[in-house]
Amino acid sequence: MTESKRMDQNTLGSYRIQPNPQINVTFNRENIQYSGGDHLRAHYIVEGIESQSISAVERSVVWYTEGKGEEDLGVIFFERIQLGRRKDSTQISSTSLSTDHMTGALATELPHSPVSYEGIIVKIRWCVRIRIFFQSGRDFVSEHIFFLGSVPVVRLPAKIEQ
Amino acid sequence: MAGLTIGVLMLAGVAVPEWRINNQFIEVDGRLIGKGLARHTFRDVFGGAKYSWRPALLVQYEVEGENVESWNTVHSSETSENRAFALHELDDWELGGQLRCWYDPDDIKTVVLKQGYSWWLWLLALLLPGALVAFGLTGLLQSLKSWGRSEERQAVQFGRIFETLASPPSETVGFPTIPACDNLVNSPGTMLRFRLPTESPEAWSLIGTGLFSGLWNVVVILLAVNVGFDIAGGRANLWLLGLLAPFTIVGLASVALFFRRLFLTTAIGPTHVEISGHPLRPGNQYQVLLSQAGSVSFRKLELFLELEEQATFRQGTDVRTERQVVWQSLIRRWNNVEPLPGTPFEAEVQLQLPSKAMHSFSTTHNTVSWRLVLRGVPERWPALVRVLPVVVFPAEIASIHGDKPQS
Amino acid sequence: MSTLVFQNPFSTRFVQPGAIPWFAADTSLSTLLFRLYDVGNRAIICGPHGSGKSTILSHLASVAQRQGLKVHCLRICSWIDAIRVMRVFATMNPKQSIVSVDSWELLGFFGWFLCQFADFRGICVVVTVHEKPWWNNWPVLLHTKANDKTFQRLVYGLMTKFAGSKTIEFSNAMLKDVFQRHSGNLREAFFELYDHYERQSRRTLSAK
Repeated sequence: MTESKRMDQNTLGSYRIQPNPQINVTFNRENIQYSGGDHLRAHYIVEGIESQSISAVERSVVWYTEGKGEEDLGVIFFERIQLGRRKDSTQISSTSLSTDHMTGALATELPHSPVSYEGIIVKIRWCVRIRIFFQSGRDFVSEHIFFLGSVPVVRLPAKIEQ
Repeated sequence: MAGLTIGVLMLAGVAVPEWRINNQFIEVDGRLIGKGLARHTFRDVFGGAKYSWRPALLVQYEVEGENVESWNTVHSSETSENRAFALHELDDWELGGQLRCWYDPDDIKTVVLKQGYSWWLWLLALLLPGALVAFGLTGLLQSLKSWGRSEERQAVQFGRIFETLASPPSETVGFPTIPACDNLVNSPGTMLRFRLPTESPEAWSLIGTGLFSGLWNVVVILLAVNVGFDIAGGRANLWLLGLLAPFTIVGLASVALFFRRLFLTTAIGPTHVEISGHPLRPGNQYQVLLSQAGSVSFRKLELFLELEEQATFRQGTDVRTERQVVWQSLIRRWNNVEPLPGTPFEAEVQLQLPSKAMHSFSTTHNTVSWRLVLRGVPERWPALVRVLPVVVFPAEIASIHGDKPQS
Repeated sequence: MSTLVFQNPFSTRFVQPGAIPWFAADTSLSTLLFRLYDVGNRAIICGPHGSGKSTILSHLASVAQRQGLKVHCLRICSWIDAIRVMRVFATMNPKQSIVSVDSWELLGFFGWFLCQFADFRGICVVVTVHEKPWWNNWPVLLHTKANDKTFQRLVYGLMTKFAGSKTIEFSNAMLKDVFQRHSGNLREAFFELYDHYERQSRRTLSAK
C-alpha cells in the first residue's frame, strides 16, 4: 500500500476555528497506477481531531479537470456517512468508523475513461476525496491523487515531426 | 414564480373561457332583433376624449321556456375609431334573421355567436409563462446546487438535471467523456471505409459574410425605396438621404467581399478525406486517402495530425475559450502540386497513431481533440486550412464499430 | 514509467473567486460586513476588471454564513437573469438572509427596478459593478484596486501552497512587469503566469 500525494483544503480559507485533521490514504497498488476496469481499494485514517466533533464523512472517487478552464467534475463513487446521536447525546458510530480514530475503506471499479492527463491548458486528475463535516458547520477535504492510464506528460508544443 | 403567475392569469383570462365556450356552452337557435354600435371612450392626460366603435347585435333566444335577450359584440369585428366603418360591418346581419348561438348555462345572459379557439392567444398563454418558468426553474435548480452540499454530492444528486439543462457534449455510450462519433462514421467512403466530414473555417466565414451582406442590403433597399417615395412625393428627408450613401457603400463592399470569398472557396474546391477505420486507437495504423478538388496549384500541401486542447473560462462578465495545439505530426508534404484539369489531386498515406496517445475528451468546459489538418499554400491565393476532426478511443477499449485496424 | 503531476498554482481552481484569499491593509471582512449594516444593508463593491470584486463578494458571503445568515449568491450573465434575482428578492426572508450579486450592471434597466424592490423589501444585498450606475443610490462599500505588492503577495502565497515544483521562481521585477502590462487586472496577470509556469515546468522536465 502506498500513501499518495495529499492536498488538503479548508473551505473556510484562513479562518481556522479548530485544528485541521490529518488524513492518510493508502491504495492497493504500490505505484498508484491503474488501468481501466481495475479495482481500486483505498483505506483511510483520520487523525488529529476528536470523533465527537464530526457530524458526517463523505468519501468519493472523482476525476476533475484543472488548468485554464472552469473545473469539470465526474464522480464514480460516492458515499456519505451521517453520524447521529442517541437521545442521551452519545454518538452513534458507523460500522466503518471506530471510536478511537476514524478509519474507513472504499472500493470501486474504475472506468476506461477519462484517463489521467497532464496537458498544458487542460489536465485531468483522478483522486480519492475524503471530506469531513464538523458539528460547527465547517468542512475539511483531503484529496489523494492516483493515476488512471499511462498517457505521458505533454511536452511543450514540438516543431514539426517526421 | 413570475411565469407561473402570468401563466395562471393567462389561463384564467384566456384559455379557460375559450374552453368553456367550446365545451360547456349550450347551443340554441336565436333571432336577431337589434343592431347597434358599442362605444368605448378613452380619456387622455389632457382631459380630451377619444371614441372607438364596435358592432353589437341584440339576440333573442329561449332558455327553458323563457325568452332571453342579450347584446353580443360581433366576434369577427375589431374595435374601430371610424364610426362609419363599424356601421358598415353591421350590413351583413339581417334583422329578424335566424342565428345559431351558444349561451352560458351559469349565466344565461352571456351568449356567443361563434365557437372555436384563437391559437395565437393559446401560444401567448403558454409561451411567455413557459419561458419565465424555465428561466426560474433553472435558477431554482442552480440555487439548490449551492445549498451547503459538497460538489461531489451535488454532482451525484443533481448532475443529471444540470446536464439536461446545460446541454453538455454528447458522449459515446458507456465511455464517459469520450465524444460521440456517430456523425463521423455515418458517411461511407468510396475507396476506404469512412469519409470524414470537414470542419472548414472558411465555410463559416462565407456563410457569415453572406448573411451579413444579405441582411445589410435588404436594409439598404428598404432605405432606398423610402427615399425614392419621398422624392417622388416632393419631400426630401435629409436624414434618410444622408444615411443612404454610407449604407450603400458598406452594402456594395459586403457583396464584393462575399463574392470574393465564394470564388476563393469554389476555386480551391472541396477536400475529401477517407480513412480505413474510425474511431482510432493508439498504436494502430490507418490508411488515409486525400482528394483535393479545384484547379488551383499549390506551392506546398501538408497533412498533419494534431492534438488540440480547448479550455473555456469566465473573464468577469465574458466567457472566453482558449485553444492550444499541444502536439503536431506531419504525415506527408507535397511540393508543387499541379492538378490536371478536371482531375482532383489524390494521394494515399499511412497514419500511425502514437501508442500512448491521449483519447478524445470532451466536457462542458474542457476539450482534448484530435484532428487531421490539411494546410496548403496556393499559387496567388490565400492559404488553405481544412480541419477534419477524428475521435480517438483509449487503447484498452475494444472496437465498437467492428472495424479491423491494421497494426 | 514514472507518472508526474504538474500542479500549476495559477490554475483556475486556485485563482477563482472564493479560492484565492483577500487581504487589505486597513480593513477586514468582518469590518466590511459591519459597515454594510451601518450604511443600510444595501451597498456596492466597485472596481475595474480583475481587481478582486468577486473574490471579496465570495469571502463576505462566507463570513455572513458563519454569522448564521442564509446566503444567496447570484452571478449575472445577462439582463435575463433579472428574473432569477426577482425570484430570490421576492421569496427570501429579509431578516435572515443576505444576497450577493456579481456583475449587477449587466441587468441594465431591470437593475433600477430591482433596486427599488430591494429597498421596498428591506433586503440585505451587496452587488459588484465596474462603475457606480447613475441611477443607483446605494453607497459604495469598497473601491477595489489591486497594487503590485498585493499581486506579489498573492503569487507567493499560491506558489507556496500549490506549486508542484519548488524550483520555479518568479522575480519581483518580473511580477511587477506582468502586473503593469495587464494594467492591474489580476485575472489576466494570473493567466500569463500560468503560461510561464507551464513552460518552465516542461523545460525542467526536458532538461532531466
